[in-house]
Parts: sequence; C-alpha cells; structure tokens
Amino acid sequence: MNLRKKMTVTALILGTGAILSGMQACSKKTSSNPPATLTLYDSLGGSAMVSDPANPGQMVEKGYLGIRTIVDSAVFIIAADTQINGYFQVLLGEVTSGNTSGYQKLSTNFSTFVAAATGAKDYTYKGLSMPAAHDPGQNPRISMKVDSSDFNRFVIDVAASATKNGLPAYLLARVGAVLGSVEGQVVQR
Amino acid sequence: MKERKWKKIALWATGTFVALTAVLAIHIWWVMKPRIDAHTEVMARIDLHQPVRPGDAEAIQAWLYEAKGVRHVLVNPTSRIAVFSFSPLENDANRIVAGFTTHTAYRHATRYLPGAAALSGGCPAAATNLTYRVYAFLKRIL
Repeated sequence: MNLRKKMTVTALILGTGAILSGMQACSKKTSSNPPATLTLYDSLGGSAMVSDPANPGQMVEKGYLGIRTIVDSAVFIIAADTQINGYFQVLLGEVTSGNTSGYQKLSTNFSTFVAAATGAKDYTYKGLSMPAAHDPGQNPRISMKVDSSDFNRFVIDVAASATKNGLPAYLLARVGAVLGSVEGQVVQR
Repeated sequence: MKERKWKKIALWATGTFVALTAVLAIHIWWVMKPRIDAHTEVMARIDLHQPVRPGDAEAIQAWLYEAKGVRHVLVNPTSRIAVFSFSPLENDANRIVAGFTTHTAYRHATRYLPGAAALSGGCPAAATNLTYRVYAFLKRIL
C-alpha cells in the first residue's frame, strides 16, 4: 500500500472540502451546517418523498434521489477512466436479468449501499459484504484485488461527480469519510 | 398387492415432485428473463483512437445527445473515451456508433465491447440474491 500517495489523496479531498466549506461560510452570513443529530442521509435530503425524474409518476426519497444522481454521474466518469474501468466492465453489459442492464444494476446497488451507509432506514443493501465483494476468491465477479491507488482513484471520481452535481463541501467531506471508512475492507493488495 | 400400492404412491409422489419443480423453474425463468421497457437504460462506450482537441469533447457530446434515444453522455478527452447511455427500445449502440464514425471526424472510433470473461469479472457491487443465483443456474443448464 502506498501510504504517502494515500495520505496525499485523502488530504486533497479533505483539504478541498475544508477550503470550499470556508468559502461557503464567507459567502453566507449564517452557517449552513445542519444540526449534529441529523444523519448524513438526512442531510442529503432524507426520507421526504419527491417525484422521481427518471420514473415519471413514481415517488422516491429525496436523499436516495440525491445519492443516485451522484452515483449515476460517477459511473460515467468511472467508465471513461482507464485506471479503474477494468473493474466495472459490467457497466457495458446489456440487459442481463429482470429489466435492468449492468449499468442500472450497478447504479441501484451502489446507490442503495451508500444510502444504507449514510443512515437511510428504508433502503437495505443486500449484496455481499465489502471484504467478500472485493475478494476474487469469494466473488467471481471481481477479477482482481483492489489496490490503494485504484481505491483512491475511485474516491476521486465519486468526489468529482459530487462536486459536479453541486454537493456542498461539508457534505462532500462527510461522504468522503463514509467511502474512506470501507477502504480497509476494499483494499486487499 | 401391497407392494403394488406403494409403487403407485412412489410413482405419483415422484411425478408430482418433478412437475412442481418444472413449474417452479419455469416461473423463475419467466420472472427473471431479460425484459426491456421504457425505463431500461443501457450504457455503451466508444474508444475514439485519436486525440481529442480542445472543444471537440463538447462537439462529440452534442452529436451523441442528438442521436435518438441517448440519455446521458460523458467524454473524457484524456482517455479518448466517450460513454453514453440510451434506451434500447429507441436505438441500438452499434447503429449510434456507426453514425458517429460516418458523420464526425472520428472515422476510426470503435464501440468497446467487453468479452464474456471480462463481463463476468467486473462488478464488485453486484447483488447476489438467491433468486438471481437460481436464475443464473437455470440459464446455464437450459
């Protein structure tokens, strides 16, 4: 594991978050930080129901919608990122089962995972545990073990998507912390 | 006489078990079989194979957005890759890529298609629910 590289990337993400937080604080007279009792999911929109732009006539939780928007945008960034798109070939798989393509399935699974990890009560991640999902010995759907550099690249791509979709800096730092919390389980070489 | 009766019961029990198993297998296949509807979205990737000059990324993006059924596009000039999602009910990725190579300066662009091995080993976050595993098993043996 390249510790120096890992620390640099983490510092970059947290640093960007801190700087943007500071800029935000300067531009507004009142602090926009939510009360400490709220879960991250609550801060991302929570369980308030809103109409789902991707499925006319259907409702979706605002928090989940926000997460899904960032995830959908992130998978495009990842699909075009040659450093890590080898892990995500399934994105290019067409309709596989049910009525979902590889892209839709990954979008749903990843969104649900993040929703559950940030405190959503109505979404449950039913996939493999993080260590099992990233171990080729236990999950034939991952071709090789993930290294620290690839994990950091993944976090950078997600952060780029979150920034592109206007996620406030203080929330970006918290989402980064959630992703960082599973690094030890994902990175296995 | 008694032996004959037991044979008959065993035959009926086996027959019923086989019939119910077949009904369950057909049901699972029917429920899980690939289905395309208005909400289905598929992603495809174009490898451009030539440098993307400043401003060209926007032009590529604009061209792809013009294609029927295309919903979202991202162009990475550094990796020379364009990815887009589209409705398979409205268009076909091969047709979109063929139009792209014909109508833009990217004559050598190709659609990237992962092989079966790459596809089967490329999704760390895949859900592995029991129903899907049963479906995958049935699909393999049928």
